[in-house]
Amino acid sequence: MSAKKVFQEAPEEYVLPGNSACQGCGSTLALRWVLKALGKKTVIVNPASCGCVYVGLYPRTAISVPYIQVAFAAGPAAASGIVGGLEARGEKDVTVICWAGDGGTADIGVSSLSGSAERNTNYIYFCYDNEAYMNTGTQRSGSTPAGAWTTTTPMGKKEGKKDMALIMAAHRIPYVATSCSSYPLDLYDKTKKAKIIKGTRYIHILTPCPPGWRFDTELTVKIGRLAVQSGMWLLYEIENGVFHLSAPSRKILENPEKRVSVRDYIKAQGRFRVVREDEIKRLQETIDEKLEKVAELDGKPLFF
Amino acid sequence: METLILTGNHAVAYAVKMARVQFISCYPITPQTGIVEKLSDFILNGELEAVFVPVESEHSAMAACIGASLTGVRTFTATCSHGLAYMHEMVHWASATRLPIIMAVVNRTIGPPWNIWAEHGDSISQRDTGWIQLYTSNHQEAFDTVLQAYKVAEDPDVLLPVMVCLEGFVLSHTVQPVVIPNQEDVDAFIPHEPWKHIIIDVDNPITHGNLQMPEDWFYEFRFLMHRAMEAAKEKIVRCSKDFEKTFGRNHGHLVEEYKCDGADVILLSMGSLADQAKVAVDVLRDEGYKAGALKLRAFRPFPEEELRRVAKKTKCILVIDRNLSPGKGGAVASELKAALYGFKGMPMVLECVAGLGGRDVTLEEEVNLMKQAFKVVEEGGEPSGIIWLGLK
Amino acid sequence: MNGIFEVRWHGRGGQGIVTASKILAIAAFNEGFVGVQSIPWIGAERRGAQIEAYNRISYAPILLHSQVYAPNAVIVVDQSILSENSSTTIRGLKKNGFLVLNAAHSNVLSSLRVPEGCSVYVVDATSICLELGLQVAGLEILAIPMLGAFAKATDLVSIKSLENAIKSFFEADSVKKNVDAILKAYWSTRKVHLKPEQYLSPIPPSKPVRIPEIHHWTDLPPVPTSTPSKGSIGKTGDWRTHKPVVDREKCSKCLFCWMYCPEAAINVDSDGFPEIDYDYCKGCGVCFNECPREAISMLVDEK
Ligand SMILES: Cc1ncc(C[n+]2csc(CCOP(=O)(O)OP(=O)(O)O)c2C)c(N)n1
Ligand code: SF4
Ligand code: SF4
Ligand code: SF4
Ligand SMILES: [Mg+2]
Repeated sequence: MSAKKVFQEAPEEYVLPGNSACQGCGSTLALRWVLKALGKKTVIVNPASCGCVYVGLYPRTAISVPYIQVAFAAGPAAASGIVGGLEARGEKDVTVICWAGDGGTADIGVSSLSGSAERNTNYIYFCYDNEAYMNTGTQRSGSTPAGAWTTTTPMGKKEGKKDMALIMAAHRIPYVATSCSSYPLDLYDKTKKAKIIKGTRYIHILTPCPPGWRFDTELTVKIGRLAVQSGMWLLYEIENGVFHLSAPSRKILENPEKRVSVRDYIKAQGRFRVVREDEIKRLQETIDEKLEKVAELDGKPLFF
Repeated sequence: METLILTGNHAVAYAVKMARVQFISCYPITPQTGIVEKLSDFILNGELEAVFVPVESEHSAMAACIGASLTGVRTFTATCSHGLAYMHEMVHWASATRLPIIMAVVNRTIGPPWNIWAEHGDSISQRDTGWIQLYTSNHQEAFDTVLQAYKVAEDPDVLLPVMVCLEGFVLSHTVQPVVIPNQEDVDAFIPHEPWKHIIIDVDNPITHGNLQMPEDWFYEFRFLMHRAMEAAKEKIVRCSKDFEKTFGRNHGHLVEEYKCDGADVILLSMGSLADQAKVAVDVLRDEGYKAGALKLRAFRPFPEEELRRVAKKTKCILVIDRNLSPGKGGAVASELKAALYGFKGMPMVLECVAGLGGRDVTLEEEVNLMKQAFKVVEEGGEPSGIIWLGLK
Repeated sequence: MNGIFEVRWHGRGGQGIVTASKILAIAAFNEGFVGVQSIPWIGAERRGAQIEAYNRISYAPILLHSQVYAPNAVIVVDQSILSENSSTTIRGLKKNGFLVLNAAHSNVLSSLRVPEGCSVYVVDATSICLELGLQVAGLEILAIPMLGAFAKATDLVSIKSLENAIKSFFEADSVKKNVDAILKAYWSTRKVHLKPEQYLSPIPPSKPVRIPEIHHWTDLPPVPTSTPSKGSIGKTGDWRTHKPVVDREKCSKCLFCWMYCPEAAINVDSDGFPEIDYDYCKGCGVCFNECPREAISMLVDEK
């Protein structure tokens, strides 16, 4: 689908301009497209994160569907409550979603998220992943990649990124997908697909963040694209346990000349300034290996 | 109407069923678990039509009740002790969202060491969260108070959640007769009308919780919570009187007096000890002592005016607290003293901390304790710190 | 100097005013002032939005902890703030106070109004930052050269104290750039002579009122809820330093710009052309960067 076509299909905006997100925020870009796909009959639960702040100040809000902010670890459970309440009220056509940051997802909220998935709660969980605690000023999260500077990893994070999408897939929920705010149409299609599935659905979106990742605001889309084109971030779906690479990631597998080196991704961002050349080389090797494995997995069941 | 012999936990479960609660979310913890187990049975056999979400923690249980309550349905949860402490953040969230959630707290100590027995410290530690706290003394009161709690919580002038507290084991696991009213009478007493102040509605989208600056209205919203608590005093009294009209019983409204007129010493306590205090008073009266008992039913809102009204009648109030703030003492005693301070003709207050960790408090102990108080009064003595009951 | 000297900084998130106000506190302490204070202003806005910071400087220890309402000096780091809302920037400024501006444009100066007796100083901090490459994540750290201008204007702190403060604050490799910026600013700051009609009586200090439609607690519902509207934080067009402009000749109406705008600030007109909503466009430049036809240019925004 082209941008022009989606404009005809989904002209309505549910993230209104004049909010308090930073210039070039990848997270609001992603939310814009998620809500275009879901439409008006959507209820959002948002645990503590940039999402609580960027909607703006009382008594106004930038989000034109119900947007319920809750404590940091409470997102999935509050969503479970809303799902249950709507069920008790007999409302069937409302989509409940949780819109949470990577810290809320991979760290403090992981128990609540896991519980909701184990109960196969009928909602969609979106993790917008800016790879650190941005609302509190860029501290490391379980989702921060190795090498990245944060205020609590001044020499770069030693440990690697927690793979939340696979953790969620291991809950055997019906739908897991990854996306990126630089691919609005990919996100739009996946969200539309998720909308009609019942049970817990999980979509993990990489959302570049100019102040936290240290790049110019105009590069938000470009940086996300580099993440995907370098293979640093893979776009895929796991539908009923079967793994499918999505088009942008498949493209770099099928056309190696379309791949960019991970060096280009790393060097474009100030947060990786402490990463050494030998580390970049090793990272490139890891990505090469990962892509080989992924090529084999494509179209196959992920679990036994 | 029928009378059943029930545990305190089951009495609560019956009340929840008769209140036609639509959403329950809970996490097991001794000695509360009996409530949810019974509710699960009610749901299974079709006696209660409610969505039940078995969450993975108490924090989530309260979060789920908040979510459900935001859709306008009647919700219930139960917990105590470590579970309540773990839930703390969401306990605040529920009241500041002004949601009429009802939670049974089956009072239990907080470790270490592990100890599953009665103490009021768990709910007392939540006193500043903006929840109404009602303490019950027996099974019937626990049953009746759950029904009353829904009426008070959902009142448009109140809109605050309520903790209905009953002591673990002492009430939760013992059995007593409980009069179960007719369903029609309960329905008429607490008809359910979804609240309007905050409700999830895709046709009227709102955001809840977004930031307010210091110069905005946060301070005033907290002031409104305080006002709602103040309003709740009158509502609790009215609800208790209405309840009596329909069901023929009351348990005191905010406080319950027992032979306080002309008493030289009044024993003030909460929960099961307050029931037992009445017996102690009878024993003492038989021996010629001018004794009285006062039960504190509502700890939040704190009924200052009622306490002063009763306090005026006596020379000494002896408080038994089944909770302890190390470095200060018992909560009821401190709050009582604060309520009396500066008013004319107020009595001496003696404080005793007892029954921690489920340590049993006997009738004899209560009687002897009161005799100590009479002695202080007769000798014209002064309070001299906390009285530790049976400290070994 | 008698009593407490109070300073208010005006800037945008990302321009370094919070950092500069801390450096000023350290420098003043180095200078011999026993009481120094730096107060950041914490708001909801992220990078780009208007923010404030404050200082107190005194020979005696400072026991005040409230905000600054009646400053002796106001430093305006981003000149667009002054032109947008000059009564906000000089609110509470005392008589005979100081106004220190980063202003390159004379039209700003000629329309300026200040309280009686105030001295106005100007420096071109933007050029200094650009020249020295004093930028973080694409934004000029304008507040640093403004420290030099403040020193020149008020004579409260010396260049030496500022230099020492910078050394204690930054890592070695960025000290030089920052010190150079301060020095350059110090030497190029000039006093502006205003016409008599540009002086007015001081605007009384006031606590900010952000929500004029609510007057009293009786107007409030039991629980705060917010309703959707554009501009939930205000007209974010104010945040812009550069403005995207679409060249219709080059535009193919592909709508990539519309698709990628994080702000939803691009509408589509009846002919299918993108139409930028300048009330809210924050000027991030994403549309400029993503347009396949190079039909969008980012022009300096002269508001
Ligand atoms: C229990 C608790 N601990 C800490 C915080 C402070 N806090 C608020 S948001 C946040 C970070 C959120 O990070 P993430 O989920 O990644 O979202 P982001 O801010 O990056 O959008 C933290 C630590 C909190 N609100 N609650
Ligand atoms: S810090 Fe990052 S995620 Fe948060 S609002 Fe700013 S750009 Fe968006
Ligand atoms: S991206 Fe460029 S070519 Fe496409 S519609 Fe926008 S301005 Fe026109
Ligand atoms: S610069 Fe372009 S992409 Fe950025 S807010 Fe303005 S219109 Fe949107
Ligand atoms: Mg994050």
